[in-house]
Amino acid sequence: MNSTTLLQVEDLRTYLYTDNGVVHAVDNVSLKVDGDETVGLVGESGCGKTMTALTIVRLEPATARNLSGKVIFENRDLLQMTPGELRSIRGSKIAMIYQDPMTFLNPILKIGSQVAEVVTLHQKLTQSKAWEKVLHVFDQLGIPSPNRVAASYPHQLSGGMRQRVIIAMAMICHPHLLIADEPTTALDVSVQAQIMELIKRIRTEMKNSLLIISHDLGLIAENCDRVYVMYAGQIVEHADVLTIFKNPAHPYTKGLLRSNLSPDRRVEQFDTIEGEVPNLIHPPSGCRFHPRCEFRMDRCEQEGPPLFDLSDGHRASCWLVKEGRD
Amino acid sequence: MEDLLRVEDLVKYFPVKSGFFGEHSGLVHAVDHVTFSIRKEDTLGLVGESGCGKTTLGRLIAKLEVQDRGRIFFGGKEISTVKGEELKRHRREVQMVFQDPFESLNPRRTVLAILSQPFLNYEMAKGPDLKANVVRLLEMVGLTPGASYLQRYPHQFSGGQRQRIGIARALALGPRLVIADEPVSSLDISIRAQILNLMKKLQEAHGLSYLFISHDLSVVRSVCNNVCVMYLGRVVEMGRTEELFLTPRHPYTVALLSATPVADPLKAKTKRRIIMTGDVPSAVNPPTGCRFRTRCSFQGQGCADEEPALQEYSSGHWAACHRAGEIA
Repeated sequence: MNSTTLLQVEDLRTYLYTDNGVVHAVDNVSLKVDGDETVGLVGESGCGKTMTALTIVRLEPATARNLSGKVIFENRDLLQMTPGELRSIRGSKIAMIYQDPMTFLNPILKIGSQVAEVVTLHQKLTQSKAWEKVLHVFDQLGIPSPNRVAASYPHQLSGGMRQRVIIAMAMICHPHLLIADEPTTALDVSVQAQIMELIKRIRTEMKNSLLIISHDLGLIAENCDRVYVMYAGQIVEHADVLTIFKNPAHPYTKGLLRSNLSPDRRVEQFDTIEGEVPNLIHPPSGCRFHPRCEFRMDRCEQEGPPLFDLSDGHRASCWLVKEGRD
Repeated sequence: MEDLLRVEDLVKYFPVKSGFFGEHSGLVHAVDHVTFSIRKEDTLGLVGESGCGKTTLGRLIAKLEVQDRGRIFFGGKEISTVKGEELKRHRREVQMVFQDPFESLNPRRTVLAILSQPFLNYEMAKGPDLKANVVRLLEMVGLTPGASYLQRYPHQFSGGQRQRIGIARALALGPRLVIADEPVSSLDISIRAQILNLMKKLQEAHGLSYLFISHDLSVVRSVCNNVCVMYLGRVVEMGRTEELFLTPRHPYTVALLSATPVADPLKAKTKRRIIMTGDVPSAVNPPTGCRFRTRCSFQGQGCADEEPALQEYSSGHWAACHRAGEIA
């Protein structure tokens, strides 16, 4: 393991045992986040990216049983920790920002008390000291009139302001790893830009690491150093951000980039990836992308390809990559 | 090409009620003196952030809301105040496609029942004819063989397929204008492209006009020939898509374009970024003068005093900004 590696996920498997069958939501996922870097996990809905994030912080749903693999964070395996140990890490060492802030704020408690709770839980501070710290952090994050916001209830704030409160909550204990799951998806474009600027500014100041989970290729391209592409519960390609966007190797990554639209250019015919994202109760045999892949071969139906090395730090799981390499 | 739809000086305010007895406490200026037109077989994009009035405008044109002031012309006839049979005829010509195909399809009805309803409403088909019409519709939107889908319920379809059903329903009665309100916003990238191709194909095959309501400039650039940018109930800029994207005149358009992420890490590094401060102000008490001035990086003298009117800067390219001349 690299000495600066902060988080190392190895062969993580999260299966959900539902009435309809076993959902192979996360299947042998390995990824790592180094100190002081921003990593993106990109994929379409239902590909398992959020479940991966939830399992990392051990907030996976109760239907997830028999987790396997390793989630090494600062040299300790989170999969082996007791609930008490996990509580001392969540919120202080690892923090999360979610898509919909309203779901994660208690509607009947004042904003200030909710943020202060994080501080009193992890640091031995009195109520009034904690409240002072909240106001200080609000001020740092550029929240206008911190006193008023702290004394408000969640419904009295705009969506952008709620998301800033969630960010304040996440940052207040200086976590080493921040996981942002679709942090701007529910917000207007102009507010999205403000929130991403804020997250970036905090990251540069605190030098912590950031794992961004998103379906938005633009957001990933503009903010990440390295990118993992996920499809149907598995990582299909990963590389530095430039390689992923300029020289992708996996047919799925290529397809995603081709079908993505840009405000910079007009296209007349829209490139598509035919078919639909597969059901993860009965994932396709072999390579999970083969039913939608324009380059599929006989082998793809029978055997799932492992991740092949293309160049330093660039890996893709496709038999074509192996052939090209041989 | 002549206009299919023209709205003139359209106004819609909603009363805000507050307190236990529901006293009037103000008016939401949802659509405030809006004028534009859509040409036959053309696509007009209506762009803006939440609360700018774009959805209300769509509902006014579909006659799901009644305007407070202003006039609507469709196919050369004024339809501002139509009622009864005439209104029913208008409804056939103007149909809507909604953002969330799950919420706009009744979960307790089969696809056959959902897609039969328009024909039954207008007594246009019954019995075996009806079924044949529904099958034809399903196949038109790419759900083939249509007969195999008839007895299924909305939850048995994926998001993309549900949006196809929503489009099929809108096209059942052969409309001339389709108002698509964020039709691809809830869909994944790979599915989004499929639906946009379908909409384009149907437009060519049936000579449709689209009013394409969206907050996403990436989609609008490729889908629409003309664009109207709205802010707090007002049109702030409109013009041909290519011209508006290449030489935006209004600071709001400039800022929206700069805020839209681009999937290109190299461009991201060199991009000039204008961050709008604050949130969209309340439409109950919009700022005096120019409504955008509170978030505008070009704000200057006079912006607070007088509301700028739309001015034509080049053929068909209009912007409402006191300082538009300095921007492009």
